[in-house]
Amino acid sequence: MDFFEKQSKSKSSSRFLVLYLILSIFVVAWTTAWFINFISPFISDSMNLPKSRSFELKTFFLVYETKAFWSVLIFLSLVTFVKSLFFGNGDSVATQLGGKPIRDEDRDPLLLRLKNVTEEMSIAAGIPIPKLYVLPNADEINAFAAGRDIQSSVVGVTQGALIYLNREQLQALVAHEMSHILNEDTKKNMDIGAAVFGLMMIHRIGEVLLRQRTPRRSSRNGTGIFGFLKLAGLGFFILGGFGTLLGRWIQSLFCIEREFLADASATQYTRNPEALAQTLTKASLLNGKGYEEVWEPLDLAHFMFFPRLGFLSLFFETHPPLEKRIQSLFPAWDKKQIAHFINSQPEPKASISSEESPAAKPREWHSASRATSDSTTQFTGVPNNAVLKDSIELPDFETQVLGVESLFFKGASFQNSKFSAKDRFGFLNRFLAQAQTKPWEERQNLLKKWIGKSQEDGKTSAAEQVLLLLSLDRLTADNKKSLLTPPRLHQKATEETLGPVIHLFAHRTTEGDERSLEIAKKIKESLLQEFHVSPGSVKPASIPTMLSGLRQLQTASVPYRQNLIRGLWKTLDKFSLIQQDESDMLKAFCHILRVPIPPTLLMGEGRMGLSDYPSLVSKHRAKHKRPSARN
Amino acid sequence: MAAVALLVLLGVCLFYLVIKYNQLIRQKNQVTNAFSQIDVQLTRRHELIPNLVETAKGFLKHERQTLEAVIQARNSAHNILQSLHQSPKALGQMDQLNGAESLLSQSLGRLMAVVESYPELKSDRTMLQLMEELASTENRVGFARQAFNDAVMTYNTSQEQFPVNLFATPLGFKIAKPFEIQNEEAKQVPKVSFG
Repeated sequence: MDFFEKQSKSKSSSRFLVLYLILSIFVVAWTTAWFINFISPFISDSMNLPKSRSFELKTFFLVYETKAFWSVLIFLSLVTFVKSLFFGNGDSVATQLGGKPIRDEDRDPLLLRLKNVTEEMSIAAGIPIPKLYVLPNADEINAFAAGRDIQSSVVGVTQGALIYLNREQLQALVAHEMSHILNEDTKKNMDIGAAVFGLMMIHRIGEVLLRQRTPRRSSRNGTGIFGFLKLAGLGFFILGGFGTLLGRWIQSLFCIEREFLADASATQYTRNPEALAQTLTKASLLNGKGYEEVWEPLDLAHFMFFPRLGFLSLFFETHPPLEKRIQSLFPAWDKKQIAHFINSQPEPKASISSEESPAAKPREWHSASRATSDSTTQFTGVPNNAVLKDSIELPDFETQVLGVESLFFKGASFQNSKFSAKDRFGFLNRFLAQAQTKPWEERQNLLKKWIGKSQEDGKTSAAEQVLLLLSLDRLTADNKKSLLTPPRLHQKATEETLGPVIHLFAHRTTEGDERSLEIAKKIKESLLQEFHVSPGSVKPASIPTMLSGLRQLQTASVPYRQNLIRGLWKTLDKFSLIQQDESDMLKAFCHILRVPIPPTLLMGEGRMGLSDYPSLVSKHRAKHKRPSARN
Repeated sequence: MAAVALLVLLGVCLFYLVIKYNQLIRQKNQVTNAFSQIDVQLTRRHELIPNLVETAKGFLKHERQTLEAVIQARNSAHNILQSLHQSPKALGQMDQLNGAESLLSQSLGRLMAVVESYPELKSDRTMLQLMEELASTENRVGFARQAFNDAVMTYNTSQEQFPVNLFATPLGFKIAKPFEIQNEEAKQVPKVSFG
């Protein structure tokens, strides 16, 4: 089956899905109408109206039986229409997702490449060039398309996609988004979303009615009316809820079908299914490693190229799983070949353990320290990328199998100096991540044991201390169900708390040296200039003050915390060598502030691209074996 | 009664005819548009190449031959395109143009290979931009042809399908010819593209 056939198949099955949605809207409307008919006589009875008027009310509903049906239907379509008016202007979606428009005068090589690729794809697809956005704060591989019509649509690409993807993979990504535009998926999705919203309104009305309090003393009309109002509310609540679920389900099926369609159309434009499959695999390898999910409204989920971490997958998925997408790109492949393809993909830069790929190979225990297994490198300068090599530490295969206890014992045996300080911190990292899955008491016990052990040998680094103490802290807060105990910070208060925290970050011990002074100064500059955060005065402070500062920072908003980490990281990145304990401290901060650890050192605009571009080019050329189907 | 039924049937047929006719017209226009897109992209390539070569001259002093070959191929392709613009019906020239364009692609490919062989050049910012522009230009031409061929395929398929094939020719629709590379030698050229 070629991609033309696949496209028409996807199109016809999504047409059926729309039909089902319309049908289910009718069913819900009819049932609701029937329900209104059913209870209206009771309501009019219970209202204790004078005989004649009660009769009128009854006949009104009974005689005009169809009237209720039509009024529900009209209500639904009105809500749908109004909602769709406020929905999904391309630029507003892009801004909501944190996108920045690319201007014509941008000369950054990566942006230039994106612009070129987009123009090429709009030639291939035969549509006008969409407005381009970049999501500078997103390190994962992702993209979105939005807009009500072809003329005014936008395409957005994450910073991660710009960095990690080569030219052909970027092309595949953009082609995928383009076909969403060409097939008007964005508009269709929004209309379907609006229809589901209409069904949800019935549910909401029911909820409101249910929440009505019955007045204690009966008024003139008697209490009966409230009872029946509640009954009506319950009916709406259930019917609307059922309708919403049904609608969501159909919507998710529709989204999945359209993803397949977009993949097939992308293949038509690029004639390069391999690149698309590589992009998908890379995205799945790289994405979903944050500690705290970046919350996104469900309304935006279907815009994305790849499901983002933390999208409410509670209800229904919006994207087909990776294996199925690759299967549909290469229909001739069997399961083994697909698994082989996924596993043979080079890990995108940083070494990450893949959670998605079921065949992740169990690794040696010391894999975390592979980059600097030589213990002499501890506390001396190591090149950035060696430190960063394992900066993403996830509960990977063996920790999941071995469990937290064994991890604890392995980690706790560090006194016999078998492990370098780096290993020790790495273990703590994994241990904490893994401990998240355990019940509270067990977690606390393990953590306390660890603290006891770590104090025995007196070699605890500042980063380890911070991480341990604040983890215990959070654990206590978790127990009290009061994670957000400190009030949200005001601008002024933030400045005061940030000072000691930065001091801690730069110095790591209470006495400062020249390097740390310089770091502190640079951090302050960088935060001030690029992130508009003024850190107040960076003055020496005791560890408890710093800890309370960090504690308070935990309550700051997600973007604020992300910016803070970015600022710290960027400053460190300016030094050619990063010391072990500095990177440890940064990781500790990431844990505490629940921000994903920066996956790459290519975050600064100044460094990204130029130094890496040539190597990407030559690497790709080396294994270049593209079918010349284009001509 | 039978008359009414006949009338209804006739109406349905007419309606179908109108819809199919409009569809064919739309697809025909898409083909024309895609064809002119090729022209646009070829012209763009011709206009861009002198600039790119000028930039490359600064770096590739010892590769005068390669650069001159590019310019020569560009000029001959440009001339044929110009004369085609003046007399669009000349069919023989179309083949000539294809030959000249594939020669141009070949010489550009050689230029890129030359740049590859200078490792110190590959990290230069200007050179990188140059390479990016070259790759993009080549891709644009390729994608424009591909889009044309896709449009031709769709157009031809809807003409040949039953029952449209019964009335497509009387209504003046013709099977469109897709773009093909006639030159055997040009087919051998590997597609130049880089990461």
